[in-house]
Amino acid sequence: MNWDNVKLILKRELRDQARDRRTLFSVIGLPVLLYPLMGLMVLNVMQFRQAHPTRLRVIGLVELPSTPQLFESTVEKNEDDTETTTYQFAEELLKSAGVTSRFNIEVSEASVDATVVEQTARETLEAEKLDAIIYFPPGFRERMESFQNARKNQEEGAEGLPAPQLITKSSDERSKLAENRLKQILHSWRENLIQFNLEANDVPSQITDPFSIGTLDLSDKPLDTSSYLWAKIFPFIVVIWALTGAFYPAIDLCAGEKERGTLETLLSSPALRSEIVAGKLLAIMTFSIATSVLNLMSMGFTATFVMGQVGGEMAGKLNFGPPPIWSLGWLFLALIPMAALFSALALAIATMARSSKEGQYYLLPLLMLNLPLVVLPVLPDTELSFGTSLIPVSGMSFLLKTLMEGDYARAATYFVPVLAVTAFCIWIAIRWAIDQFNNESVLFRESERFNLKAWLRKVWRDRQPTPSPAGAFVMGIVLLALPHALSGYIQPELNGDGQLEAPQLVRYMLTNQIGLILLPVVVAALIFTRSVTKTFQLRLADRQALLGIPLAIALAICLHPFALYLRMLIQKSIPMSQDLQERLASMLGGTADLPIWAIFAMFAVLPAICEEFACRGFILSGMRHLGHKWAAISISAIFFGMLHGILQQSIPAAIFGLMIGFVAVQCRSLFPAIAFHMVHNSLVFAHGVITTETMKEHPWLNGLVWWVSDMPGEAGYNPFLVAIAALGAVVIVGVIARMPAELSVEERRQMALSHQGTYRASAPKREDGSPST
Amino acid sequence: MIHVRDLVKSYDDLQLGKFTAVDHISFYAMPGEIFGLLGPNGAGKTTALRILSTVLEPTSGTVKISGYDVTTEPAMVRHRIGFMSANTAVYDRMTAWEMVEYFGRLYGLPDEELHERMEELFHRLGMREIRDVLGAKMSTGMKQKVSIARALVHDPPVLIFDEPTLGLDVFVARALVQLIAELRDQGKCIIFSSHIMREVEKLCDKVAIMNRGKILAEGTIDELRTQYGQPDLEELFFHLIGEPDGIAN
Repeated sequence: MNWDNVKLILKRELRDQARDRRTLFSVIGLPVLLYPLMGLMVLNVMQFRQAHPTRLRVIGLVELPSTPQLFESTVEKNEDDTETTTYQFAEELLKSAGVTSRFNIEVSEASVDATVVEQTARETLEAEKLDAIIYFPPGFRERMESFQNARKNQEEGAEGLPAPQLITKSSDERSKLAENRLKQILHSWRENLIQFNLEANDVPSQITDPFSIGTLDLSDKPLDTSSYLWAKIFPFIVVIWALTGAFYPAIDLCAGEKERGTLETLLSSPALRSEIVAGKLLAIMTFSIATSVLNLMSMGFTATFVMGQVGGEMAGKLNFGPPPIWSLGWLFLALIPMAALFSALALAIATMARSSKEGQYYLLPLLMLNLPLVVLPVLPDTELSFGTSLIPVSGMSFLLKTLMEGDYARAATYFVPVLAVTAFCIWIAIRWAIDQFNNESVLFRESERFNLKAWLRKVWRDRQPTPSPAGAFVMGIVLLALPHALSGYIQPELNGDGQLEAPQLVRYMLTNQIGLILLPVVVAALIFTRSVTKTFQLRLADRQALLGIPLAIALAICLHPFALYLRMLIQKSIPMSQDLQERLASMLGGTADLPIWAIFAMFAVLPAICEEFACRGFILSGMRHLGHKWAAISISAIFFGMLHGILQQSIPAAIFGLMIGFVAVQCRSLFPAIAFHMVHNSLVFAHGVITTETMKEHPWLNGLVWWVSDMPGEAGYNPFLVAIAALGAVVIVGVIARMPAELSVEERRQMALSHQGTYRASAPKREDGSPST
Repeated sequence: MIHVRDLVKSYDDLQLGKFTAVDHISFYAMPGEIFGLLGPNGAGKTTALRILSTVLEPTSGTVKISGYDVTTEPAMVRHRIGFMSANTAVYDRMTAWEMVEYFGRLYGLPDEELHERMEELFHRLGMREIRDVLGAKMSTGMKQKVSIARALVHDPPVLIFDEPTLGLDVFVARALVQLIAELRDQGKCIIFSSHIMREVEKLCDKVAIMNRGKILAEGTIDELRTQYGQPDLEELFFHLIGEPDGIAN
């Protein structure tokens, strides 16, 4: 990589975009104008909303007790000397109820019988376009006033008491709103009434409020609600703006360049593909960051100046102030890796697109795929932990949320995994983009009419000896999805005690391993490849393969103690939930009834064969067409890990998957991989049965095991032997690494390419002097 | 200088299946020589030249340019060639000067030398008036000039021109043909593809006639004339290729 070239390309792309009015507008113009405009619109809409007073009718005003006051009446003299009385809720009542909206109140004084009101209420509400009716039944006033002298009528029962009624229609939006407000007002009025009655009966009013709950907040810094809100909405802003901010320039820089025919000019120049990708990536990142920052600033500005004006109920609840300065710093720091990730993704996708139009179609799916990752941190009761820190995109949002909430200790703990995962994702996306740039069928593909039949014929016609990377990837997804899709049919039945009995367990293992893993890959290999033996690397009569089997077995034995340490470490750092532990225990409960050979057959031999055929067979062979040996091994290891379903098993499985993949590639055969897997699983189970009791039965174990307890699985090995095992593992890995692996055509090409010296000498010599006309 | 041996390029096509665009072609060209590829549209000329300029990779066969292999040492090859074709467009939002300067810098030319060289090229190609014109505002002829300046800026020993006169008016085309002849006289090794007989006849020292991915005949124009007993190149061309299908019916 020549950074001068990268800088040159970056500068050109930036200038190019700056000269494009559309890009400038979408990056700078839109955010600067959008939010203030939105704010203004909100303001206007709110005015509309407030302009509608609630239309209310009060029936039976005479039945309302005079004190405490519910309505205030004002009398106006008309021109013809008649008087009109208008009613409003008492000012203080509205204040204590926290209601700011206005009411349009009609009043009918006469006391009306309850049955009449019930019959006519619906029609009245609809015909006169009222939002609500408050009805005071006959006898209400009398009853209320009687309470003011309560001691006289204590014996009266509580049944059939005349109570006021609030009549609304909840299916109507405005009526529903009116109901809420009126309830609050009536509630306050009721409180007033109680106070008044108590006073009238000479009861101290404190007895209704015997104590108030004292609170003591021990956090160092009170939670800044405004920054909390920003931490919550940050993921949305960043994902939407970092992604769209990256996407449009990316399309112009890649698909657009293809369309305008300048890509071939650039490709024939001496800039390496990786330099082109780096330059373009940095340009896209610049735009992505600029878009996000401008949007954030514009939003903050609007929040301060426009939302503040709205006032009323809304602003009080939202507390949508500008974010505090120190949290802006964190925001900006987190923005950089997020923008890098999205830019790399956008770049790869935009390179894949044949035209700008096609490129724009990809934006929405990309946004949708990111949505679950964005929503997760916003959900209540989720927080930064080891598990969540491993989720791409979400992890970064969690980290930011934690930082903004001021929990620096937690943030520091998970800082490394979050960054590692993000960096890994960025690396994958960049690699993908570079591969797209190296792939001429992507760079020069022309629009073809798509025809499913023709495509299927092509897939059949162009079958290779081993599956294609895309085929291997699809297979991996299918293997992961199958158990979920069919879980209804294969889930074993538990017996009455919630235990799994032995026959069910055997059946479950067989269907799971053979039906859902081995069968699909073998069928796919038969259909989609030309050579089953090459796909699964079924090479036995070969020096390397034969030598590989004992080496793999020895390596599995040497690595066994470390496998246990790894499991323990993971178990400690990400403890399994109680629920999961119980489920696992009930699953394995059935093993007690099985003979020892059956347990080994089922948990060591069976998975070793089935999973190896899938992961180191089909998936690894397919991925090796990518051209990078270790990329292929890593991808197959990740699928292998995910196949285990439970996070605590997936992580060690993925790590050991790397080792098994390495063995399979170097030995050029699947059999050493199967041997490694089988021995590894067997040893884990064998270790699981070592207890104080077994030690007594088999005294020879004393040399091997140094400490042991009654609980299975807690035995520890002789540290001296463990050290020897470590040494042995290093030696064996060294021997295996020296074996010549059989490289795929693509891998040989990549090797040759990486060995080419890059030509960076000074300018070519001038032999011909300066030509002149 | 340029050695092409058994070059094959085949594509996967959804409808047609395997499609061989370039079918086992071999030729070589030396410095101070213009090698012409003559053939109808779709003969595989552009594909062959794209492979020579490292934009595409061959399916099989070898191409060596100044001793460097295009598949395994593409970076070395790119420094030694100037490539220009109908598909190597100029950037819309760059001026002529910026465009040439940009590529000159990608070739690693130091600023002083680059600017000296650019002044000279702009003068020679008569591009001074369009120096600060954006690509989007240029005519086809202007764009072609910028492309030529871009291909020549690093003074490469090998030049690959794929139908360079396509869409140009006679004046510009004539000037271009003269320029190419001059470049040959300076000792450049030039590959030139065209479907226009007169240009080929006028310029090329050696010619290969291509159709459907294959080279049908190769040699100097005089050799071909005597070999096929046909003094007129155009007649010779039709004789070799046969009546084009499509128009005959």
